[in-house]
Amino acid sequence: MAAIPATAATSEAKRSRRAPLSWTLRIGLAGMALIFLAAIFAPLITRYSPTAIDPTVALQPPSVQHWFGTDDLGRDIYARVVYGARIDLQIGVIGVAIPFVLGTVIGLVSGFLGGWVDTAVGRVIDVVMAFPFFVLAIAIVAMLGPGLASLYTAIALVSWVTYARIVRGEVLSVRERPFVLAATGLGFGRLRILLRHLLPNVLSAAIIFAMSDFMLDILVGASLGFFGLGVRPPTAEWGVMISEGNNFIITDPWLVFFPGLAIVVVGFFMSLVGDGVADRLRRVDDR
Amino acid sequence: MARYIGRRLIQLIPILFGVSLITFLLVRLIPGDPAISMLGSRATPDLVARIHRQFGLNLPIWEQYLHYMNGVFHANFGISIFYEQAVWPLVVSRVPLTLELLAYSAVMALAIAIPLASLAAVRRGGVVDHGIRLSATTALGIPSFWLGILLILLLGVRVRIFPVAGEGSGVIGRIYYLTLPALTAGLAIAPILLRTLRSSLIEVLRAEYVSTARAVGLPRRTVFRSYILRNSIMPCLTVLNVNIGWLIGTVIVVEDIFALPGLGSLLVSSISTRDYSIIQLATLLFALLVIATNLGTDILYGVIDPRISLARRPA
Amino acid sequence: MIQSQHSRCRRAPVILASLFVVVAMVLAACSSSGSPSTSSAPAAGTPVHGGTLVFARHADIFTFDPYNTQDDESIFTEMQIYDRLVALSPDGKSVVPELATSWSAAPNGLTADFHLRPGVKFSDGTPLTVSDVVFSLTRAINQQGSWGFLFSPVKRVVALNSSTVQFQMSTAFAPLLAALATFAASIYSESNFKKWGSKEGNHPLGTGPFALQSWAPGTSVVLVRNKYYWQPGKPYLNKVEFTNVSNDNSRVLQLESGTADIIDNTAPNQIAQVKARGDQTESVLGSAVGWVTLNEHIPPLNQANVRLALAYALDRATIAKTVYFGLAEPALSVIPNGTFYYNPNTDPITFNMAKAKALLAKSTVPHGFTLNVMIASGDTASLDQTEIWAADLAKIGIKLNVTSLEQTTAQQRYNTAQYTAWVSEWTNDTPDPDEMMGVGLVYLPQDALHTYFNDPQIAALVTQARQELNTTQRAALYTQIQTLYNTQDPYIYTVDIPRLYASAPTVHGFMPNSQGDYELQNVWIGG
Repeated sequence: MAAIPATAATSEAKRSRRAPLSWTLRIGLAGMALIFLAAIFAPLITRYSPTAIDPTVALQPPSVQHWFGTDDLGRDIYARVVYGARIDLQIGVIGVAIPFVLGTVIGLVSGFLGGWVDTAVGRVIDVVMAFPFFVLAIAIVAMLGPGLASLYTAIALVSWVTYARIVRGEVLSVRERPFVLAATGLGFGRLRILLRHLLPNVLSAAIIFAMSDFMLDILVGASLGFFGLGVRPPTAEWGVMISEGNNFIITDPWLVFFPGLAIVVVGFFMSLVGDGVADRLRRVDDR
Repeated sequence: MARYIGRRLIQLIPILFGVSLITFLLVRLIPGDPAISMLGSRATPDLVARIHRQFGLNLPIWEQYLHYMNGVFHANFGISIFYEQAVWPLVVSRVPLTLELLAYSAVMALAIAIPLASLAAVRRGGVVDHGIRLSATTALGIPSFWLGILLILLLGVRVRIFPVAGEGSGVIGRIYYLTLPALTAGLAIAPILLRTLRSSLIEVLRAEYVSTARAVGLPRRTVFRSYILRNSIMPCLTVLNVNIGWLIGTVIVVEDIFALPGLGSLLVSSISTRDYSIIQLATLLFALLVIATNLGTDILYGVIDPRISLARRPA
Repeated sequence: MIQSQHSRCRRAPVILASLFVVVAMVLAACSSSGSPSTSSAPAAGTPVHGGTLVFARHADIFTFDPYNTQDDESIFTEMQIYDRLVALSPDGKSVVPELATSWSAAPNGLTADFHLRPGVKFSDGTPLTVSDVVFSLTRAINQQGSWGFLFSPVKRVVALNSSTVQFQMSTAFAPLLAALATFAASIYSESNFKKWGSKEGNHPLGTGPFALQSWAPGTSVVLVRNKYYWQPGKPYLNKVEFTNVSNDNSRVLQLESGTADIIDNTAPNQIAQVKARGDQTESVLGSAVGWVTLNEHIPPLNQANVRLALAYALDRATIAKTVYFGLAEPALSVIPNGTFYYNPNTDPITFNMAKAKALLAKSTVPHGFTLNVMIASGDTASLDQTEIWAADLAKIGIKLNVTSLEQTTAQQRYNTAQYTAWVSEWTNDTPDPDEMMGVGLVYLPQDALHTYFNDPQIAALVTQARQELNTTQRAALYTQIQTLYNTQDPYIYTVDIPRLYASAPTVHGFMPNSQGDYELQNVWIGG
């Protein structure tokens, strides 16, 4: 007999889930899908190899032969950007996923439980955040050797605190809100409050940051390239292309412009996806 | 409140202690030491040993650490192996410039982000909103060293509005000289602030107390100022605080481009040369800065949002 | 052809190919035979006295004490503050008098006497005495110091009388003159040194053209004219300010905006644009040559045929053109082309794929192998050079695995011989070939610079050449060494690497010598 309120709530929730995807989400997902496909089918859409050098055509501006121009060794920049997507999408996904999960869980639990757990976690976060990234990054490369694995480790060890802090901050402000206090008053279990009521609200802030983080990870790769972190040469990767093109910014700007453009395009679609997902989460919680 | 602050200040000590211990060990784990960096190919075992002896690097690590901590308690933070001078004056002289640059950059970032985020939130879903978000994403994707060079080229060389290097003197001079560097760093951070601020502004706009306030007939501006902006400041502060690491990283790059003798450029060069004492002190000071920012933000939380009672909070 | 600052071109970058031609023509027109430096500066007019020169450099200095100096910036700054007994000649091939007006060696070569120039004063007006010279040089020859090795056979430096110093050596030592021209043999004030104690590295007092006015670590070093300088009429400048600008692009932009008058370490690809805007460039060859150092403990690098095959597959001309934009020159010897007794005609290794293949066929790995190559991250030139090399090596079955490591980390690996091949360069500290060969071609004390190269015949020749005071015979010995070297090739030489400076059109007389010494006493700023 208590089915009536339950049915109303359930059908409303179902209606939300069945609601059509917003245009934001659609465009974002479509764009990302296109980029993933381009990366997978790279050999089909490029004419040159990304690593074949040809010094006789070095530093040519964009032309019909080379859509994005050539770099200082005569490599086709368009091919390098397309093949580079393979590595950079990987960096973005892995570099965000691990810290996201780790940080969200820690932040959620820490903020909700409070007490000494929160204090301890807070202090660990303080120490990690206080550390200048360069110092840590070099130490990790030195101990693990150069390559992508080191890059992921360095990012993971530092990035999780950002998510933990965001989520913890959100939890602190949300847990005093009426609907949470009401749920506690109604006797809902702590885990249930955590998962059903807190999580959707705090996730949107974390997801929004994750979209920026995707781009930031790739950019971090660019600056850490100076310290030997990242892919083994001559593999193409946008961050490394940007740092290697540093000397040519003024004289041959296309070396840095096109990988930079690629990062921006990916970032744009990711932000649309993020906003779309965040909107959906807000709608579900809006009763 | 005072007790809370006092408690947090006391907790500063173990954190700084932890940071200094970790840094001390970490730099000694990195391959290559100052003797190698100094001597390059001329590093014969004899010469390396001599330099090690001269700076106590031949002692076991725990003994080195004891010497170091002993020095710290006497306000002696060691000698720079390369400059052969006391480290404290060398490092501390660089701090004010970096602090000024950080503050100026944060102000720039907020000055860009707040108006644009408000506009985007109020005109949500429209062309303006999408345009602002697209610009923000684009700005985020531009590496700061590229942006810095571009700004120097356009505003310092082709059109001579701003100086291209140096830090200027006097208050007005300093502001003038640091404008391009602060703009570069501010533009790097603003997109992140903008996204978060816009998102929380949207949430607040739809919140119940806002519709209540409107229904009751409060003027739009009051509603905006007293309710909307106030409740959105907190996420803004969170994001600024959370991204202090990123801001510091950007400021380091900016110091390099604009040839500013701040703490960041000193840290980077001392890592390459493995000048242990400088690395240790500079890292400690950056850590102190981050912790101070965290503390400041937490205090502001308590001030702005009375629902968060700092007295009740386990610190 | 005077160009004013305001009329500089601001066109967008022009097509590189046509600029190559222009650069080549300008370089050809301006270079004089025998001089290792080329500059696009106009012929000097009448020097103008006064002015401050702003020189933006890519790194800061650390000290003013030659005993402890390790980095280039400190070295070149010291050379403006101190003098030495002798100096490098303008053509870079010998030494000329500076604080010593004449010298002679005993027939057995175990002593050498130097006669001091009278009337020289320090920048505070006090006279230079023979005891200052003895004091400075006694410190220099100390084998505990990092530069003592340049003077290893010298046992003592004594004053014979108030104007003569004598070097007493355990064996004849031909490299002595060149060593005395280096910064390590700088002459400074004994009383000043003793006065400052542990802070002496920051309070220099010398007889050079400039004196230290102030040093703000990290920001700038300001030198002021030495009014007691012994060369009449010089220096022309009132002040020199060295600023610290580590970012490569910023340095070039500082030149363009007029903030800096001279910049160092200009990237090769930016030289063309600098010239197009009407600035001057100075390209100095002579003291640096690129190497790929090979670890002979790792097979198959222990076989000379393999090393030679690798070397013959290196396209030096393409590297000089593509990586250094025509500003480098293919190397024709293991020593830099400005070194004394350098000989390009010792059947040098060139680019010859057929020969490379044939040599590899005679080894135990005729079908190729995999080679691990280490480079310092951030060094684009080394990376590009290695890519070009890899493309050619692939044709004979050799695959390169490139590892990019942070500079000091890579240096550590190299010093502990944990590398296979290391792309680096050799820079002379002294123009005498004994420096490089003494550490690089002789097994002790550093395992031939960590290559484990061990050829007793070459080692014996190096020792013999060190003690040969007759220049003709010495030349013959070094020719023999270089010829033999090209059959063994422990260090694959690549290209002679230039130091690249750029300066404003108002700067005249700026011609760094082949060792990189700025010689700012000859510089003046005019219209």
